[in-house]
Amino acid sequence: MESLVLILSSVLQFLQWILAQLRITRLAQRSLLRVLAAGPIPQHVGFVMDGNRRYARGKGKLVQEGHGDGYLALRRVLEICLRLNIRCVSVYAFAIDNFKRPQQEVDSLMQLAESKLLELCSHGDLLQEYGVKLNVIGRKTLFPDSVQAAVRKAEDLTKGNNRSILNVCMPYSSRDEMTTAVEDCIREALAKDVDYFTACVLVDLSILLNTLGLTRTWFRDDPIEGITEDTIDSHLMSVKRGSPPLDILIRTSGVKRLSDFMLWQCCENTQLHFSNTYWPDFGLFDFVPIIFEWQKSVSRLHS
Amino acid sequence: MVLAYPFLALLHAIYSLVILSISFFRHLTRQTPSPLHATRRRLPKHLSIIFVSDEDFEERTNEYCITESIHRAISWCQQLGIPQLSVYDAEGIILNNAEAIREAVVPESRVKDSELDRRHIHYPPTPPLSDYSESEPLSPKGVSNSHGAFLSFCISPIQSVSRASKKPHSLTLNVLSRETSKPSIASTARAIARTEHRNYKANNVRDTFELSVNSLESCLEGKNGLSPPDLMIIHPVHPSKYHRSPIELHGYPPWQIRLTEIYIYSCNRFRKQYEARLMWFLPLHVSSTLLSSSLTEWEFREALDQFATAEFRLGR
Repeated sequence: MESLVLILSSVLQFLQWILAQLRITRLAQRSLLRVLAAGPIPQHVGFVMDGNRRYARGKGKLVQEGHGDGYLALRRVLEICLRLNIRCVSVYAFAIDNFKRPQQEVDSLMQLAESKLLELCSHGDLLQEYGVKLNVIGRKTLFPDSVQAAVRKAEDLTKGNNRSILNVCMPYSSRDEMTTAVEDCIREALAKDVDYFTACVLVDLSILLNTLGLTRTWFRDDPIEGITEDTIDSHLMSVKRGSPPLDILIRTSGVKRLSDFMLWQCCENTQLHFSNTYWPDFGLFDFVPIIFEWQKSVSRLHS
Repeated sequence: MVLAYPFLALLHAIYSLVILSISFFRHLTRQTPSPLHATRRRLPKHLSIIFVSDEDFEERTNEYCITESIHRAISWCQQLGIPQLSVYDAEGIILNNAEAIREAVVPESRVKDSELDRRHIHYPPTPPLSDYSESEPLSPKGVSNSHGAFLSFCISPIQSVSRASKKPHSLTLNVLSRETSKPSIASTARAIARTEHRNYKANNVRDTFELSVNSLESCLEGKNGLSPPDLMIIHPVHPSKYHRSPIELHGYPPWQIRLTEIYIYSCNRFRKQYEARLMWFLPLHVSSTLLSSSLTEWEFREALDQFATAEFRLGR
C-alpha cells in the first residue's frame, strides 16, 4: 500500500515537473518572440502550406490526418506571427487546381475548411483574441453552398477587428486574381467612358465654363488611358481587402516553385524562402531564421 | 524593452555564426553536378535567366558580366538543344546592349538573308479572335501606346559544333526588361478595353464585360506574347553581396512564372562573403573585376539537375 502511494506521488511529481517544463519552454518562446519584435518586422508574410500529404505518408497517417495536422501548424504559425506584430498573414489553403484531386480528399478538405473557419473565428479563439480580421480570398462561388455560408459567417464574425489581417486564399489562383483585377479595371474604365463621352459632348459647354474660370481638366482624362499597373494592383482582391505589399513569401516542403500564389505581389520586393520542412512540422525554429534574414536585409538597406 | 535590443544583437551574432558554419559545411560536402552533356530525365524547353546588377560596380563591369553570361548561356542552350532562352534584368542593361549581343550571335552574312525573320519586336498582342471576332484590328494608336515590347531574335544553329551527333537546333533569344512585366499586363488591359469600347460604339449594345483567365492568357502568352519559362536561374553579378540576403524576383513578368522552377545558387557563399569583406581597400575598378562573376557552367549544370529531379503535380 505504501509503495503504491509512493509510486503515485512520484508519477504526480513527474507530471508536475513536465508541466513546469512546458511552461518554461512556452515562456522562453514568448520572450524570444518579444526580443525579435524589438527589431524591424515585416508587414505582410505569405505561406504556401505545402507538404501535408507527404508528411502524412511519411508518418503512416491518413491524408485527412495530414491536413488536420496542417491546420494545427497554421494555428501555431499564426500565433507566432501575431505575437511578432506582423500586420497581415496570407495562407494558400486551397488552389483552384486542387479540385482535380480525388473526390474523397476534396470532400474532407471542404469539411475541414467549414468547421475550422468557424472554430478560428469563434468567440475567445485566436482571431478574436488578437483582433484579426479574416478575409477569404479567391473564387468562392466554386465552393459548395455549405462552405460558402460558413465563409460568410466567419467573415462576419471578425469584420469588426482591425489590428491584423488573415487572408485565407481558397479556392485561389493568382492568375484568377489578376484576371479579375484586369476585368474590374476595364469595367470601371468602360463605365466611366460613357460619362467621358457624354462629357465630350459637353466640352463646348465646359469651354464656356472655362472662360468663367472653372477648370475642365476633368473632362480630358481618358479613363482607358488611366489603366496602369497601379490601377491593376489596387484592384487585386487581397489589396482591396486592405493587405499591405507582400514582404516575405515562404514555401514549405522543398518545392522551389510559386504554384500560382500571389505572383503579382511577390515578383517585386518580396523575399522568397523555400523551406525543406513539411508544413505540419513548420514551427518557430523554421520561422525565426527567416525573420533574422529580414532584419539583416532591412538594417543593411538603412546603412 | 530596453534589454531586448542587446539580446536581439546577440541572437543575430549567434545566428550569423550558425549560418557561417552551415554554409562552410555545405561547401565541403557539395556534390559535383552532372556534366553538361549528361542525359537528364527532363530538359527545360524555355530557360529564363534573371541578371541582378550591382550598384556598387561600374556600369561597364555590370555590362561585361551580363553580356558574357548571355553568350555562354546561348552556347550551352545550343549544345543541349534548349529551344528558348529569355534574359531579364530590371535596369534594362541587356536591352541597351541588345544590338551588340545580336551582332555577336547572329553572324553578319546571315543577318542579310532575312533580317526581318530573325528579329522581331513584340508588342502586346491583340485580343484573341474567338472573343472579339467582330472587332477590327487594333489601331496604330493602340500599338504605339503599348509598353510591353520585348526583343526577340532567332539564332540559327551553329554548323561547326563538333558534337554534331544530335540534330542542330535553332534558339530563340528573348530580351526582357521591367517593361515586359506589369506594364505589359496594363497595356494589354488597355488594348482589350479599347477594342471593347469600339465594339460598343459600333453595335451600341452594352453587355457586362467579362474576361476569362484563358482569354487573358492567350493575350499575354499567345502568338506574340511571352511563353512561360520552365526553369529560372537568378544570377547576381556580385554574388557575394547578393547572397547575403534572401532571393527576390526583381520584377520578372508575374503572369508567366506560375509553374517555373526557381534555381538558387547557394554554394560558395561563405568564401565569397569573406572575400568581399577583404577587398575594401582596393580601388573600385580592381575589386569589382575580382568580385564580379559571370554565369558559370557549374551553376548552369546544377540548375539543370534541379529541374530534372523536380516533381510536377499540377495541383493534384
